[in-house]
Amino acid sequence: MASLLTNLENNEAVLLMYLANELPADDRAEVESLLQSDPHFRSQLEELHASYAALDSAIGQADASLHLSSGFSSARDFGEAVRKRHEAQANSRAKELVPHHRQIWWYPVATAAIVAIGMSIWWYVASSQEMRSIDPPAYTSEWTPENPESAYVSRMFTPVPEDTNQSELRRELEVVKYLRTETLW
Amino acid sequence: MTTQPTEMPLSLIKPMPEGQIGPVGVETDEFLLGRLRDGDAMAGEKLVLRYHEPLMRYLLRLTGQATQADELHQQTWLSVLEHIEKFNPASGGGGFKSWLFRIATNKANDLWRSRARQRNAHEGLTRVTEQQAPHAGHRMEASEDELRLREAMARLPESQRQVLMLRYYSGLKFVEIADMLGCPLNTALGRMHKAMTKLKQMMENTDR
Repeated sequence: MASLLTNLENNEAVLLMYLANELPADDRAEVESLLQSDPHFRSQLEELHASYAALDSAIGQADASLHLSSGFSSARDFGEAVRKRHEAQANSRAKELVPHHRQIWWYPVATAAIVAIGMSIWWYVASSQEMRSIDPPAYTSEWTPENPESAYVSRMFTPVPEDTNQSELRRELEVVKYLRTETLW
Repeated sequence: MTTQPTEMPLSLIKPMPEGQIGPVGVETDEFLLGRLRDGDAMAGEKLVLRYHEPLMRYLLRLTGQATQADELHQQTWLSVLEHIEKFNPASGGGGFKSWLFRIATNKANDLWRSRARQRNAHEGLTRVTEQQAPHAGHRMEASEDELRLREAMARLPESQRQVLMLRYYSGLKFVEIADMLGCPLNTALGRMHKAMTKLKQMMENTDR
């Protein structure tokens, strides 16, 4: 065991530890050899021992005359506190278990909700794809002076049928040209 | 792991025997504490009864008032119950007894701090009232010896009184007391020596 003596500041500390029997065996032996050889050190020990004994006896006597309440009421109160605490803990544990039961009930509901959400998303995506696949309708608005481009644009973007007469098409283009010129100038 | 005997010898000289096992059939502190953790109220009651005398006397010496000692005693055990899960007997430092007295000391320190605040607020009025007219029910029935010792104790600085009383009533080792109070071993020993010297002188003076 490591030596304590080197860490103790003074003789009083060493002797207190010696009297309290708290020194390691080697230190104790060292103190005892010092007590044999040093009368001053020995007298210090005797003085300390006498102080210890006097104080022990004074406190002992004072304690004997001091009536303490019995510990039974304190023990009973503490027991009651323990019971209450245990009950409270048991109740809180029981409350913790309640949502556990609910979880079992909630599984099918949660699954149904997830399926419903999934289907909604699928339906939305599928319908938007369908919308995109449909060609935009041709521009068919009637020509008016306020909207001179309409007929032209409509014709330009409308696919030409294969059986369309070339002369008829040319005539139409001339009409369009005429109309554009009229409108612009 | 240390275990405590049922009855503790109160002495400044003789330290509490380390690792003493109680008589056959007597449960150790750690065993009772384990049962208390599981909610066994009887185990708690046994622990309170086991430590009632040394702990109450310690608190009485520190506070000087029976009602305050009672209150601190109650607070200490409630704190034990509250923090029972944190207590680890394997962590060393004197086992359950040391832990119990540490809690009691902390509670007493809290009381002193609140007393000091009260005194500052009331400019000594509270102290005068306490000293001159304590409630009859609050007074300790005391002999002349007791009064003399109490008077001498009251004149000791708190730090010295704490070490002396911890040593006497808890029977903890000086190393454990120093650890509990958060001071070096030499400081604890110095306080002990000063307390003993002063107390002896004061007692001798009143004898004359």
